[in-house]
Amino acid sequence: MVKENTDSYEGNPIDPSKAVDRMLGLLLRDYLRKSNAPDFEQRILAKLEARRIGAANTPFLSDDFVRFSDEELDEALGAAQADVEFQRHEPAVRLVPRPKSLSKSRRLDPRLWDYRLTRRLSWVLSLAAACGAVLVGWNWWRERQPMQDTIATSYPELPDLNKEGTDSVDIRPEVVQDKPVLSPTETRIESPSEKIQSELSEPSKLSLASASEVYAPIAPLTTKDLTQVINAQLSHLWQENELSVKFDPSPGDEWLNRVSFAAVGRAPTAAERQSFRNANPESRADEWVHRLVHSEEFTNHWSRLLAEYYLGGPLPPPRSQSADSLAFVQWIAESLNRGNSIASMEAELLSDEYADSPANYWLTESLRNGLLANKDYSTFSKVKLGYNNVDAPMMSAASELMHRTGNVAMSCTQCHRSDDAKIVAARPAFGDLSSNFWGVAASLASIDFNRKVLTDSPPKSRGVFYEEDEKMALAQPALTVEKSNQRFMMQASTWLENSPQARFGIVELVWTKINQQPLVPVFGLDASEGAEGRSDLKQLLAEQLQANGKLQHLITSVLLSDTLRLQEAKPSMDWYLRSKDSTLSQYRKATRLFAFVPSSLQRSQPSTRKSSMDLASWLQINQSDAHAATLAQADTTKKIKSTKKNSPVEYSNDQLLYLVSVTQPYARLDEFATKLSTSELGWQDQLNHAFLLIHGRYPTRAERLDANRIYDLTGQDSKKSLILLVTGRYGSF
Amino acid sequence: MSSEFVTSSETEQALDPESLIQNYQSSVWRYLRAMGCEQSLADDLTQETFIAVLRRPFVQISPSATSSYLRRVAYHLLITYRRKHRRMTTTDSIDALDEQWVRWAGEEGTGGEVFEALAECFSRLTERAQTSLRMRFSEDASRERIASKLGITEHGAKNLMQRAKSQLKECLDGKLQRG
Repeated sequence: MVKENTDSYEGNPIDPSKAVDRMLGLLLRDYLRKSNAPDFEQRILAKLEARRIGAANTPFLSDDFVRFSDEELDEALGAAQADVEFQRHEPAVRLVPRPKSLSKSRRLDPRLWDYRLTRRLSWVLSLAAACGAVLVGWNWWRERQPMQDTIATSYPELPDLNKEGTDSVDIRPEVVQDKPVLSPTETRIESPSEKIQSELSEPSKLSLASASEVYAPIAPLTTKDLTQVINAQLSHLWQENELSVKFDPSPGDEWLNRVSFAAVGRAPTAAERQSFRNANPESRADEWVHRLVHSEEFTNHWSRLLAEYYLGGPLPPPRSQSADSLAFVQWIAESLNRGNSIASMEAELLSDEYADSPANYWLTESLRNGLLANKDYSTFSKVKLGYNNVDAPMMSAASELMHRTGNVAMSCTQCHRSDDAKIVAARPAFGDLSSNFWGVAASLASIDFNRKVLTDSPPKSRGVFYEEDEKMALAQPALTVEKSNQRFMMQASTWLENSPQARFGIVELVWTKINQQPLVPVFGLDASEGAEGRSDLKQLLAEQLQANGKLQHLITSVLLSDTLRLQEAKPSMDWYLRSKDSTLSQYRKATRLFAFVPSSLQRSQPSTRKSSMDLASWLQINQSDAHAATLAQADTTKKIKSTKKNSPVEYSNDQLLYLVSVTQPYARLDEFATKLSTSELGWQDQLNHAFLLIHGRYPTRAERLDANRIYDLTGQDSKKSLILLVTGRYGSF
Repeated sequence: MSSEFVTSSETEQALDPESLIQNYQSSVWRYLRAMGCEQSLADDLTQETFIAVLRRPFVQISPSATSSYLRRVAYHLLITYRRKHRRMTTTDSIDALDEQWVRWAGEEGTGGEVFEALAECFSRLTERAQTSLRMRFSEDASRERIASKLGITEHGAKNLMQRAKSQLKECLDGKLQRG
């Protein structure tokens, strides 16, 4: 039996203007499926008879039957009667004629209008108002005229939807290029604001339109080939950075744990472990991943992850989730189950094909969040918004869309110029962000951008600006926008469906969820990181996701790659001792290649750890004797407490034995700490390196706080702090 | 209250339950379907509508008034049902749909003429448009399947369906618009 998709979401509130679409869809379903009303006569008469004799149940009632009490039925009857009565009597009330005697009666006292002075005064005021209106209109027209000339150059021409024979949107470059506006003979001196406008409005910068260059389809790889490509890329980068990497020779229990958590969000059961152990070692990894990825659990787990990602926050448990949000998650799950491509799924976020589609929930939520955020933004931000608050939700939704799909933080680009340093850093991955932002904002609603144009003087009179004059930012769109947003919606939808760039968000999500660290930083980091080597991998995975379409394909490839088989991937002590200061200072870029091992699964030795409090109690006693400090750390704390300040150090036999066994490692640790503490790095960077050496990851917030306390207790002696930190965490270093 | 309503007309006539059900069950059921009810819910609410009315003797003023009255009863039962089941704010969407129904079927219409008009408008569409809509609404086919069947891109299929629905809307508006 064919399932009725739209009907199951009957509870969604819909835009009244879209009621026609909704009803047309419902009528078409009934018409095309030839659904007709069944004959109710027997069941209604039986029910009536049952009510009459007081029988609670009849054979026609089931547990999920719609039941109404007598009071509810009476209420409905009363309300219906009121409706009918009201509509019947309303015209009669309206048509009651006014008594002639009243209309013709004349007042005896003079009204205000009867005085000549009043009449003259009002005439003068009307004349002044008319003159003022003409003046304002003239100024507005003069300001608007040159701006239209420059801004309109980048407005893309899209095919007419009503034209016959245009089944798809044409994205040829010649179609979306600019159209000449100024005649060749016309010369005009550009004002500074116009210059900026024209700079922003260069047609090549409109990434949404010019994305046709990257729309060329590429050949999809099989999961095996894609896995090999990922392995080769990572191997190359590890070698380039001289990182020591250890793999499990064959996938075992640890691998099974990681894969299960990544694919279905839980640890494997005992039966699954046993089944995995008994399987053929040659092929069991492939078979296991395929089994997980095509399971119902996978769909449920990833549909929820995707929903949380699109909506930008964690969802409550299903029991307390709203009906709309549940429907949204269900819609994603159904799309994954049907094997729909991620591209078409994301395009449907903007599609208005079905007015009541659960996909519309995303846009509704984004607009609502934008509306809420705008209030705080305008209250607390240093940026003052000069435009109408009505536009703010649209811009928030545009920003959200670009962030979730293109993995680009767009909120800054609505204000900053496209050549801003931080935006330039992210540009290689995505093109001109400012234009994209306004292009997408334009696609979501017909915003009248014309009123947001900066004028030369006074600068604060209109537009968006910082409170400080010298930091005044540009917030100008490079587009003029038509009132009909259907074409823009189609354009944005086309971009979402056809451009590999629009897959960056999902690639980043998959990589982060599986490997516990981002593939490539998004925004707000150093400019050097914008062109990081691994952006190639990101581009490649996005293209493959676009070509292959299915999320399962990408996840299978990543799960089967070497990253899940890593025991560890971290810089060795030799690497540190060899490296130059300049290499160390760029560690952020390099160390993003380390530690793919999920931190939650790393083995730790909590019993050997000493907190800063333990160390503090000891340091207060042994301020001057660093060597004894190290030694005492190796022993138990009872010895530490018995040591008195300035007393001669007496080693026990146990301590002497330990000292002999750890001399060489401590010498290397001393070398490591000396190198870091004498480099140009600050304490926080040195701390990062120490943790990368120990764990292959950055310290957590709690660990960092703990380490900072040690640093303060040692009088900000970084070498001493590093030694204490390492020995405190690894007594047998 | 109810008796005041049904006896206030000069053209009133007593109507037995069987006749009332046979004459109006189809229009009530169609109205509920157009409000977005699933088939089982539409069945149940249609039944409850008639039960609500037939608990007392029913006297008909005119067929059109009866049709309108039953429609409003069904409308209020639907709202009560959704409130009971704690659905999200639904009255806006129901009102919007109700207004659209009245615009097409008329305040006192039975809905039959809407389907007749829809059938005629549908037959005026091109063969490709008919095929695409039939696959979409009758078979729940994906856009990919429709596109491959028609030999066009997915985007083309989307455009084709949007244009077809737009034409249907215009045609229906032309045939059914009232007031």
